[in-house]
Amino acid sequence: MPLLYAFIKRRFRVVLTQKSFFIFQLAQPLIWLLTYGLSINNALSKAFEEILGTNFLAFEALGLPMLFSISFPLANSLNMSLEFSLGSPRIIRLLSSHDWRASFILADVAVYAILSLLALFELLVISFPFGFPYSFSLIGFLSVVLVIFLSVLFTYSLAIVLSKVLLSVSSYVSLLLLPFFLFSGIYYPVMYLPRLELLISAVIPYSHAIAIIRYFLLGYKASQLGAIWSGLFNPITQIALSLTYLILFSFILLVLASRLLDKLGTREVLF
Amino acid sequence: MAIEARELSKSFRINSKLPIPMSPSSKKAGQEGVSIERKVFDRISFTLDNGISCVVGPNGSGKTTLIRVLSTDIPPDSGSCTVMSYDLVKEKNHVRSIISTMFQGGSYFFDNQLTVGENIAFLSEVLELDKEKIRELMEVMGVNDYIGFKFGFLSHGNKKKMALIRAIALDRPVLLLDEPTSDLDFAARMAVRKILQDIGEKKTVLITTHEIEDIELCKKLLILYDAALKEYDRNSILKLANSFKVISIEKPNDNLGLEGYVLLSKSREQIRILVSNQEVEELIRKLQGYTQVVVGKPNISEIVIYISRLNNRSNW
Repeated sequence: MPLLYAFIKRRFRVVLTQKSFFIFQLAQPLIWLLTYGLSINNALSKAFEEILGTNFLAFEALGLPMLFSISFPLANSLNMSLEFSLGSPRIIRLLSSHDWRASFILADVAVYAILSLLALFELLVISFPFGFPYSFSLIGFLSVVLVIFLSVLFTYSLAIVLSKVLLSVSSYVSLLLLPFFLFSGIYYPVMYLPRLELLISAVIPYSHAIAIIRYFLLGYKASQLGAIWSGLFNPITQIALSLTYLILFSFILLVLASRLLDKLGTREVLF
Repeated sequence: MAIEARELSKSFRINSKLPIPMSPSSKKAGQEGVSIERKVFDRISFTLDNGISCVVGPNGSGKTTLIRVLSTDIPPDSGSCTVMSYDLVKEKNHVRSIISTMFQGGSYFFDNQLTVGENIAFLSEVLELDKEKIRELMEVMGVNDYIGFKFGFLSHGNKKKMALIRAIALDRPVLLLDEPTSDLDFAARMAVRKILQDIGEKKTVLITTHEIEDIELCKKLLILYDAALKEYDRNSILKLANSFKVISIEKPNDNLGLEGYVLLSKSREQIRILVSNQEVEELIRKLQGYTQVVVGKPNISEIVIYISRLNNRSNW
């Protein structure tokens, strides 16, 4: 635990030194809400109310935290390679007598999950004047926290695994972000996708994460769980399966990433 | 034996479109656009015990790579090595718990965005460094005023001092230091030598260096050159170094008549030659009228080049 705490403090300090990045990330929800969100909401709200039982803005606002769960750790992935070549992780890797790897990953994940939750909280607060139909419960809140944490863990671990293969951040963006964003249903209900694409969507862990968040804050119809699971099982089983799927994927990637972390330092970064 | 290496080899594969020398001393160039293998050291064997040992050799001879291999930063290609009886590859986590290391790299593996104090606080928690010892060493090295500075703002020399402090404060039985005294001011160099002398009595310390003064601290002297490692008698090398001077001729012309002297380096801007003490006056006379001539002491790498020439380079 002291190791985990030390890594969390370090990451917070490093993130806070990147002021412009930090401010931009927190300004994003507001910019999104006032532009794209309001415009599409005005055009499509009636249809959304009829089909999903909620308006477009509320539906979209709950997909956006996933955007942060992906973008925060991915944006850090280049820094991470640099850190392992040039920063303190390189020397910790060589001189620490403890197994520091899981603590290192979990600390970073905790910090990025907190930032993602902050973005979600910000969205919920600025949504209130628009009368968003969210339902709050303790179980819902805890599930959202867990899902955000797992999503960040998944993204972060995936970034470590891929950084052994890919060399530039632009590769991550084109290879990961775009398909993940588009197939996970951040911007639209996946139920209208053709069958094959719906299958792809169901494989992507983010689709399950978004569905769980929407389930607890907007209800079953808006969650798209029925589409993801092709109408199989009852809603509670679907939630349990989606959560299990997310946990399983995140855990496998965490184990893989922990093993690869030691090798990150041996890559020389050339300028 | 604290460190025992047998037939250790390391090479790097270089993909380049530029002609690259096959080895530091070779004039042969790699073919354009191909991947070539460059042997850094080839089947070297050595043993190290308590006390200070030095590895010397010119730039690019593989000193830093040897420190990185012994620090488990990169694995050797072949051969075996034990550190306090632990296998360097198979038991690297054990090795990591008994070594302390410092090698060259951007900011010596500190976090540039954090202050010196924040870096120390973090490393103290993660590596269980003795904060009191760090404070003491910072005072000795003259860096205690920089505690609130962002690490990235420190000069190269001060960053190196902090890296040395971290390595020494860790208090492990094996210390591997890459050029610990280069780039430091005089007072810091003296302080580092004093510290090394003190800890060398109880620990196994391996340093790489170009400095003659560092050799004086060493119990064992190893010369790494042309992918080979050989042990030399420290006193003979020091005696040899004292019997030579380096003459630097700035902006030389082609007709200086330097045939027969040991050429250390040659460019359009400068020629450096190694001359025995007896030959210095004669050469200065020869160069009379040539104003930009500087006479100085050779460093250990220049002596290594001299020895390799004596031993016919490839088989020295």
